[in-house]
Amino acid sequence: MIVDHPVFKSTKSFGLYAILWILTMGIHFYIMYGFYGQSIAIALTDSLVFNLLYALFGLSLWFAVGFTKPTKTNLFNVIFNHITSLAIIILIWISLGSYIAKSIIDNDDYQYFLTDTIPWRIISAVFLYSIIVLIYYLIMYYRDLQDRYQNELELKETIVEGELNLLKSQINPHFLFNSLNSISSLTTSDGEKAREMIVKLSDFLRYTVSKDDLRFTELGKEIENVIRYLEIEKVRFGKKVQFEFRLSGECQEKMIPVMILQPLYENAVKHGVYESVETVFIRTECIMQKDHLHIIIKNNFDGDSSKKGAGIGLKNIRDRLKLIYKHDQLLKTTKTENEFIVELFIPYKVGNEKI
Amino acid sequence: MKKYSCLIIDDEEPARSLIRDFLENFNEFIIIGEAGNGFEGVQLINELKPDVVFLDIQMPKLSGFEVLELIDCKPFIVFSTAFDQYAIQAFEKNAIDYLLKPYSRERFERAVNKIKEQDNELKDRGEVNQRIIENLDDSNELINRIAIRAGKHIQVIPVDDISYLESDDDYVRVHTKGKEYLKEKTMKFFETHLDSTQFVRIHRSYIMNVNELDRLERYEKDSYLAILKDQSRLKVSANGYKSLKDILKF
Repeated sequence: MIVDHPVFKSTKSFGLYAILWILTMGIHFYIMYGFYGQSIAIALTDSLVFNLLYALFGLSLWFAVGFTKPTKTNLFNVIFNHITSLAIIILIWISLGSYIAKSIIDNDDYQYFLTDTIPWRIISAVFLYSIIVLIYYLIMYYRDLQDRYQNELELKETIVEGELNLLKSQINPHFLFNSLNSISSLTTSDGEKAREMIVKLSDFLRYTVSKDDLRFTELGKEIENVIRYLEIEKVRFGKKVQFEFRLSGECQEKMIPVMILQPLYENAVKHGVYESVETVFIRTECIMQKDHLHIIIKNNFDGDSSKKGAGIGLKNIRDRLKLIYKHDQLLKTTKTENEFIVELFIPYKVGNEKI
Repeated sequence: MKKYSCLIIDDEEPARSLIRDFLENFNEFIIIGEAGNGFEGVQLINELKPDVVFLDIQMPKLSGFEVLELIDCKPFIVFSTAFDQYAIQAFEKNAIDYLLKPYSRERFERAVNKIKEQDNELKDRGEVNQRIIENLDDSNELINRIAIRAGKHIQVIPVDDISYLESDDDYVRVHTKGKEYLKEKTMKFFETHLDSTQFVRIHRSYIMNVNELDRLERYEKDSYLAILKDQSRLKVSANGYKSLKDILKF
């Protein structure tokens, strides 16, 4: 609990607490010296003794506040607790303060002065108590709020991770079974090619189902898997599938979220190749910008085909990017009469350092 | 020995080559053509009138089911699909044999042998094919295009291009911008298979694409006229007006 104490949290906060009390001492001293006409020595001693004492009590008040959170206790109890602790503090403060001050200043006039100013001291004790408690409560609520925000963030991360795993394990059954059918056909016509395709399909599946916690991968690795996927589709559809990648070596070393590109190519094949009788070109380009990687994927499609539903895959990607990079403009799509363009903007730095 | 003329329709070459390969064991089955998409498939079937068609379901332009709707002969159809629960349901319900990709040689031969057996019983394939179409119509899957035969030509109309549908005896007249086509379906079919937030049954005889609506005008005491962007004027019944009100929230 002492670690939690806002005053001891850093030298800065401790310094601030000290400065505030020095200011209070200054005011105290000024009132005694200026209004009551006490000597400098008396004004200084009185101010020092009473304020130092209260500064100590002030520190302990944190525990009183932590003990009586209005959210946990009912309001009546809170008020009752504070009145009690206020009464105790006033009692100890004035008696202990007077005792110490009197033992330093052996002077009858000062004795009378002390007795005369007790009502004023009580009022200032109440005033200081209120301010300190108020500030403590504010700090506590601020911390609560931050905790809650942090928890929410963590919760969101867990959800994203869950979604990612779901995405990873979601192999399109249509793709899988049709590929197996192609292999079945190739075994008699071209055994070597069949073997090659089995290896490609296996590598693709391995990458897709790999359950390691890896959340980022090099662009080059992700592209390697995409190429595997496209080559399998090429065995199925022949010349109808054409693809081209223009990536510099430097681009390929940049980190991107794992499996962020794959759904885009599946979309291109689904809406381009599956729905068209003409050749579909899938072109990928990558440009290094100052603070982000600009990836452009273009494919032509049959403008007559009316297939809808590219939405969910794209939305998933947009959501994932937003959660990882804290920015919601990282995916842009453009659809012309017969071309679909997806642009990704992958920042070099992750939005939340924690990731 | 009776001979069977066959067509293979599949958009994947390896899939077609597999069927060719498996059919080599059957001398009575003669392959007379192949097609790589639904368009060509319909043309070939109507032109060559084969006895047997090996038909894939997922294909560009026209699906296997759409092909079935557009042909005017009654071949024995062996469907194949990799993964389409909704198609499989339709087959099971009608006790129709289908091939689930990838399939074994035995499985394929069983399907082909069944053709020979059933052919002896002189089953009317037209009826079976019709049943499949009707069964698919029973499902609630929304359609996103309509394939229509216009003479030798096949017209595929994306549903967004429809301005309204009009009932015409056993047919539905599909109106698009400036053109109209006849489709052998019921109004009820379109009412249940089009997105109900976009297509509204405004009258016994009309289903309207709300995106094409320009304005509503009062016609008689209880009825309205819908004026479309292309200036067509359609009657709106009291019920139709209520449905429109719900969807357009006026």
